[in-house]
Order: sequence, then C-alpha cells, then structure tokens
Amino acid sequence: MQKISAILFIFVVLLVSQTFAQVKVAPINFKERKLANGMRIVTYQDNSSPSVTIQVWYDVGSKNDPLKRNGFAHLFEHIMFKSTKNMKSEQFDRMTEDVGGWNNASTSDDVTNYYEVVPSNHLERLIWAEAERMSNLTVDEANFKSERAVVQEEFRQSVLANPYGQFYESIQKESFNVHPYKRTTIGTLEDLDSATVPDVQNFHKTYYRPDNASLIVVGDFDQKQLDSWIDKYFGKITKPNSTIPRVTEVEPERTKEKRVTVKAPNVPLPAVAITYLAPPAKDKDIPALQVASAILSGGESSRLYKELVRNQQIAQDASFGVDTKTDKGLMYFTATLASGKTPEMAEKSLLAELKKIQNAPVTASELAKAKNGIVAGKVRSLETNDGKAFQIGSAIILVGDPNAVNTELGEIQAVTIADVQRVMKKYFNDNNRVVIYYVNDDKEGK
Amino acid sequence: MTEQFRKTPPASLAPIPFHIPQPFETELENGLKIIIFENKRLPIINLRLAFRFGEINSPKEWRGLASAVSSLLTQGTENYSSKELAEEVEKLGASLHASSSSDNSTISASALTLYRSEILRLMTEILFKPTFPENELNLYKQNTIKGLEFQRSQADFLADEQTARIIFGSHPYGTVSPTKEQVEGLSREMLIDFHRQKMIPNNALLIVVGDVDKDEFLAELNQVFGEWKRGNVEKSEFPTPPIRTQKTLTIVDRVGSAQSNIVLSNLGMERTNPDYFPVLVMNQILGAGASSRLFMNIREEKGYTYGAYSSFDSRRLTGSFEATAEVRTAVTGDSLKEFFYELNRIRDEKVGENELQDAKNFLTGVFPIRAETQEGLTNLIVAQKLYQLPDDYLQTYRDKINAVTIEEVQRVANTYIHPDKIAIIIVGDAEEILKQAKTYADSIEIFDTDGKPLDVTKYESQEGQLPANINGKWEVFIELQGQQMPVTFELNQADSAFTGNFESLLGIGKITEGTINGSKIKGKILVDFQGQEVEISLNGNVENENSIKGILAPQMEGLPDLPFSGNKQ
Repeated sequence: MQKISAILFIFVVLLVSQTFAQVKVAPINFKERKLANGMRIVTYQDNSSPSVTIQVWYDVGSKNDPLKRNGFAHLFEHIMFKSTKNMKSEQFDRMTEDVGGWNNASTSDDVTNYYEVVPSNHLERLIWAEAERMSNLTVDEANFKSERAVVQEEFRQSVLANPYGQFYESIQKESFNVHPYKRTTIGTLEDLDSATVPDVQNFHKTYYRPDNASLIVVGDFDQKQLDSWIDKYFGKITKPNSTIPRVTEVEPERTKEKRVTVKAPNVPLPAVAITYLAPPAKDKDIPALQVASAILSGGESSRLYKELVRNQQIAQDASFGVDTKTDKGLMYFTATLASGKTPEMAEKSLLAELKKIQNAPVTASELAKAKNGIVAGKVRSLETNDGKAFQIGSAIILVGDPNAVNTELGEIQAVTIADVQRVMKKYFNDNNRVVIYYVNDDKEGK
Repeated sequence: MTEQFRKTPPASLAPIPFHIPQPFETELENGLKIIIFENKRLPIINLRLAFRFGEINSPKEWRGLASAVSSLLTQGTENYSSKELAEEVEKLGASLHASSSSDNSTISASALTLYRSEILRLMTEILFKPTFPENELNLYKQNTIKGLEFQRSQADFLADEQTARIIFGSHPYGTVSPTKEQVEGLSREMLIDFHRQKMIPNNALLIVVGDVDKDEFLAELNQVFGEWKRGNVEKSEFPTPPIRTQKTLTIVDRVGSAQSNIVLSNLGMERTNPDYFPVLVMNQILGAGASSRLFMNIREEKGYTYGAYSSFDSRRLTGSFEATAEVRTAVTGDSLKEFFYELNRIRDEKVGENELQDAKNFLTGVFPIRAETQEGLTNLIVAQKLYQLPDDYLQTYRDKINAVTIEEVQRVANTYIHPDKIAIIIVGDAEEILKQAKTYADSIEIFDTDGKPLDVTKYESQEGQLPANINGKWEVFIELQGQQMPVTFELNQADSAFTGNFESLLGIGKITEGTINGSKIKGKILVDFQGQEVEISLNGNVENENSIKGILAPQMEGLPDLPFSGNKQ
C-alpha cells in the first residue's frame, strides 16, 4: 500500500511541476530604519525612471473609530487634504497633478494611507508636505462641515442608492460579535452628524504621530540625500508621551450557525451570503485559502461560476472571497440569484460546492490555473513604484513585516493539493457559519 | 516653533534625465515589422500586434465592420469556442484582447514569461483561425444595437456625434458610430472577407516588451509568423473635411435638461504634424488640466461647472480641436463668453514665462510616469511606429517640449484655433440655450436626440400659444443604464396649470406646481425614496398631442438627468 501511494505521490508531483514551473522575482532589497521618534522608514531605490512614490501608512483604521463616531477615521482622511499651518487647502493636488503626478488616500478597517507619485525632482517637496500634515494640521469649522457633507453624500451613493449597498454592510455587521470590524468604514449618517472639530483635533493627536506611522519611498532618489530630508522634516517631529490606544477585543470562535434575513428596498434580485471567520493575515494557512478562493471563484472557468451560473442557472453571479485583516478576518460565499430562484436553492448549491472541495482533492490543472492567476496578478502589481510601495505597506500593516513582500510569491507557489483540502476542512463547518438572506422589502405590498 | 524650513515648500530640483533605450527592430520577408524591447525587471511580457487599418477603412455603407471583426476574433476559432478560448487564457493567468479604433486595429496580449509560447500560440490562433460563428455574430449584433440605443440617452455621445459630423463632414472621421441597420446587415461572409484582406503582415507591426531573450524569441516569432502571406495594402481616398467660413451653433434638444454640454470645435491637425509639440504646450496652458486657463476661469473664478477643458485629437489623416464644459443651463451664455475670451486671449497675447514653464514641467514630468509599465511603454512605442514618427521620437520627447518658445505658442494658437469660424455644439434645453447663445453664432440648427433636424422657428417664443391638452394617463419610459424603466403620470389639468400622480419602480409620488406653456410642461415630483423625500423636476415637450419627450432631473447631487419619452394612453 505504502509503495503505491508513494508512486502516486510522485506522479502527482510530476504532473503539477509540468503544468506549473516556478516563477521567481528578484527580491525588493529595501532599506529599513527607525527614527528616534519611533517612525518606521522603508526606502527602495530604483533609478530606472525619474519618478518616485511617497506613501505614509498610519496604523489606524475604522476599527479605531471613537465610540459613537462610526465613520470617523474615513472622514478624518478627507480632512487631511485641507489646510495645515503652512499649506493651503488642496495644495497636495497642485504639488502633484500640476507637475505630471497624482495623489490619493484610502481608509480601511486596519489602516489609513496617503500616497503621491511625482517626477523625482519634486521628492523633497512631498516629504515636506507629508511631514507638514502629520505635525501641523489645522481645521476650521467650514472645511470640516463641507467635507462631512461630501462623506455623507458618499454614504448615500454607495450604501443607500446602491440596491446591494446594505447587503455588503450586513456581511460585516452580522459576521462579528465583539470585534470593532463589525462596524463599517463608511460609518453611519447619525454618527457622522455628531462629529465635531474637537473630535478631529483629538483624533489627530491620538493617532497621527511618528511612532504610529510608516514612511515608504520607492523610486528614483539618492539614498543619502533622501535620508537627510527625512531626518530634517520628519525627524524633528516630537513623539507624544501618551500611549496609543489599541483594539484589544478578540473575536471568539463561533460555536453555532446564525441565520439572518436582511430586508432592503428596491432589491431587484435576492442575494445570499455565507460567512466564516478567517485566520489573521499573517497565518500560514492564508496562501492555501487564497488558492482555494481562486479555484472556487476566479473567472468564468471557476467552479462556482460553472456550477451555479452556467449549469444550474441558479445565480447571476457567485463568488468566494478571502478578506484578510490584521486580526481574524472574513471568508464568504455570495450569490446574486437568477430571476425566479430562491435563496434556499443558492444556499444549498453553495454549501454543496463547499462539501465538494472539502471531500475531494482539487485537480492539478485547477491548482496550476489558480496559482498562475494569483502569481501573474502579484507580479503585475510590482511593475510600478507605487505598486511596490503598496505591497510593502500592506505587509507592514497586515503581516507586521515589510519583508513579507519578498516571500508571498513563494508561499503561493508552494501550496499543494493537500493544503487546499486541509484548510477547507479546517475553517469551514456546519456550526461556524453566518447565513444571510438579502431580500426586497415590499412593505408597499406592490 | 522656530523651524523656518517648515514655512514654505522647498524648491524642486532640476529635472532628471530619462533614458529610453532604442528597441531592436527587424522586418520579416512577408513585411511584418518586429520591434523588441528587452526589459528583464519582472518575469512578464507584453505583446501587441498592430495594424494600420481601422474603422475608417470599413466600407462607407458598412460602418462598424472593422470593430465587428476585431470583437469577434476572440469569439470562436477552428480549435476553440469563445468559452474554451477564455478558459485557455485564464489557465495561464494571461490576457488576450482585440479592438479597433478609427485609424488602427490591435491584438494585445500579456503573460508570465514562462507562458510566452502558449500566449503566442493563442494569439496566432485568433489571428489565423477565427471562424466568426453565426451565433456569436448574432449576440454581438444584439449587444451592439443595445449599446447604440443606450448612447442616445448620454449627452456626451450626442455632442460627439454632432461635433464629428460638423467638423469632418463626409470624411469617415465624421461618423462616430454605425446605424442600427448597418449593424443588423453585417454577415459572416463580410467579416471573413474583411479579415482576409486587412489582417496582412505587410500592414502590421508586432511590438514585444518585457522579459525575453531577443534572439531566442525572434526565432520563435519567425516560425510562428513566417508563413503568413502578404496581401495588398489598398490606398483609400477620402473626401476632404468641409472648410469653415463662419461661426455656427448646433443644438441637440433635451427639453428641461438642467445642464448644457458645450463643445467649441474646429479642424485640428494630423498626428505627424511638426507643430505637434508646440500645440501640446499651448493646449496645456489653455485647457488640458485643472490649473489651465479654462478651468481657472470657468470653474475656479466663475463657478459655472465642475470642469472646463480643451484638447487636440490628432489622428493619421487630420484631427480636431475641442473646448468643452458641462454647465448649468442658466449660465450657458455666460460660459460661451468666457470660452471666447480665453480662445481669443491665447491668440492675441503672448503667454507668460511662468505659465510656459508650468506647462513644460507637467508634460515632461508625466511622460516617464506614463512609460512606467510595460503596457504604458508599449502604448508609446505603438503610437510612434503606427504613425511613423521619427526613430528618436521617445528619446527626444522631453527635449522637444522644453524647446517650445512663447512665440511658437502664439503662432500655433493662431494657426489651429479659429474663434471667428468655430462650431458651437450644445446639448441641452434648446429653448433656453437659443435665448442665451444665438448672439454667438452666424447660423443656427437644432436636432432632436435621434439626430433628426427640427424647425428652428418653432423654438422662438411660444407666447400666445394655447396650452397643450395633457389631461389623462401617460405611459413613458426612462433610459436607465441601458434598460427601459416604465413610469406612469396621471395628470389633472386646469388651464395652464396641472397636478398629478407619479408611479415607478423608484417609488410613487405627487406631482405639484405644474405649468404648461404652449407645448412645454414643467413640474415638481416629490417621491419617497427609501424613507427620504427626493424632489425630481419634470420637464417635457408635448409633440403632436399625444406623445411626450423630456427629462426627469432628481435634485440629489451625483444623480444624472433621466431622459424619458412615451405616449398618452
């Protein structure tokens, strides 16, 4: 018996290695240091093109929204484009767009990041500007109110006006019991309404400080010159004595199934979500879960699309995603029903696909296709300076180590057929899911 | 704090040179030009097969043929159905697309270097062995016709359509999309013939950018493309665009539109024109960005709009100049005044030293950022080679921008912008626009959204006319993201006033403050939308007693105007 399975094993290995040769990328040999005030500096010099990206990643996200201020971290991100002691409102646009570059920012559960791409002869100016808004943000009532109105409008557009806006909200709200991830990044209209200018000043003081930030610079620069600019503009910002408040809540493992029906107006076709807790982003099982996700829902040749959309014609779309976070994140199946089909049918089919991938190994060609898709995507994301900096920033926040950027590709490629089956058995069972039915609220009685 | 260095931003350094190496170039015996740009930084490659034929080479009576051929290349071959082909590409984590523009047609692919041979094989599969299956052609026709119908509800399409017609006349650049009949009339045989005649090696070039070994890959390309047979490159003759002699105003009527989409346009220049660089700099100063003159004046100072811009679209044979903005209807005339002010100013006065330098900083700064990805670099090389620009075009690009002088800016402004002979195209409420804009033009024409000419005299004042009879139930349809959404109005008329009820999928509501002025109706609808009361303004025009056309404009920021049309029951 043992002999046969060994031969089988070798055969499978050969088959896999035939369809999937190893893709290697030269490591990003970044330099890392810490300023005396605690700020983390990661720089990677690449002089092949005279452009550079400057990114500041603050270790604060919507999970840190103050009590009764859900949506505040995101609102605050908007305020960061307003005036500082020495800068006019929207000056970032002028300093980037007018010289051929661009800038933006984003807020998620775990992090808020600010980034610019500019021709490299403008690098010092942007270091100056980012240091300015870290240390000298000023905010007046008028700017605050106008920006709050912009965010509330964003809420109306993305949540209220979108017939599935409340579906995606409910996935996050219903999936966490204890952890602040149960609140959404966009927040609520009421909480945004009660926010005040002193809240802004307080939030800035609490989280926007050098020992809670990482500066990432990738592209064309002279290392010595860059280091001296960083020391000059960021090094002199003082570190407050207070401690930075951290999220301490731990989401408990689930012990029984929870079922919810969410009603919303104007839902054209019902939708279903089945959610599970994911291990934290730095867990060694994440790569295998990502490969499983690609096999289940990467493109039109994936299992869910072929089965639910094409064969059974139960759903218009069906997917399975892994939403990794610093703490335990989420994995969820979703399906938007085809006309005339019921949520029960979609739930049954989705769970049948789950059982299938738990009970039988995926094929070698499925594995190879999934890896190719993920690897090609990751390699493409490394083409630009800002792409590299984003990968480094995510690695810092999610994994706690910028060097994860150099190991991810290898980890994905090392995933085996057995790994996929093992993780799908480990994290998914009948007692740890939340099932959400999202249906039309026909209170008008048609 | 006494940190003086925080008070003002540090100065920028001198621009840093950008070296783009010359790619390797060769030509196969069948005339296929091959350009290889080795770049081994990441294990990926980009392939682009580009042909010097496009939509303008479709026969006049079959506009849209080139696009149909390109779109269907990936929808079925001798060895794969469209689904199987998509799956083959997915397996590699690669991409493969084909498309046509007015001048050119391209097949684009990208993949991990590991799969360069596989992606090349799939590329040649769609190039040499497409079958243009009947069922896929029918699906393509259905989708294209849906798209044609949908675009008539989009103000910017209506503006583009009229602008092209007026500027280019019967030149093929004058037609921006085929008719429904032309799409319906396409046959499989026509596609096969066009593909055979046009997709020939001696009118094509292949650009390879990425992680390849030049000699090794060249050998592979030779094998794959070596047997490809030459064809005849037909020289096409096209009518010349009309010569403009006066200022014209063309309005596309959307009754009750809250916005006017304004375009001012005249003929521009071909892509190979030696004035290309001075024009680029001049246009940057005039209107290309958010710090350019048009934006600073019409948006920042006057606040008429979210944005006002100008652009040159320079193609193989000729091109156009356009200045555009979407403004509130009430400031249509005021906006035209500012447009003319800026178009004249850039001709009459020399630009400032600082403005010139700002424009150069932007154009030289953005260039390397555009070239950062394989895709971006491929785009630049493709344009260079398709338009047969000089060999050192990319290497000297920034120098040529820096060499432009204040005098040249003024010269090209006078050569390529002609306010006294410009075409003004405005999509919006014709009656309102006419009042505000007619003094800016020597002649006026008005069209409906189907492109049918209307009687201009009808749009002069409607005073003294009897109010139309609108009493009763109306069934109309709103164009919403390509779908037709049914809506019912129940109207109760009393002389020139009316009230009523509104019913739709968005909710039900009351119509109030309705007024009738001749054939024009105006009113306010209050709808309960997810617990919020939303106000929608109703504007319409009653045509031949029982049909109506108009616009529902939700008074909520970010929501678009919703054109509707329908009949009395």
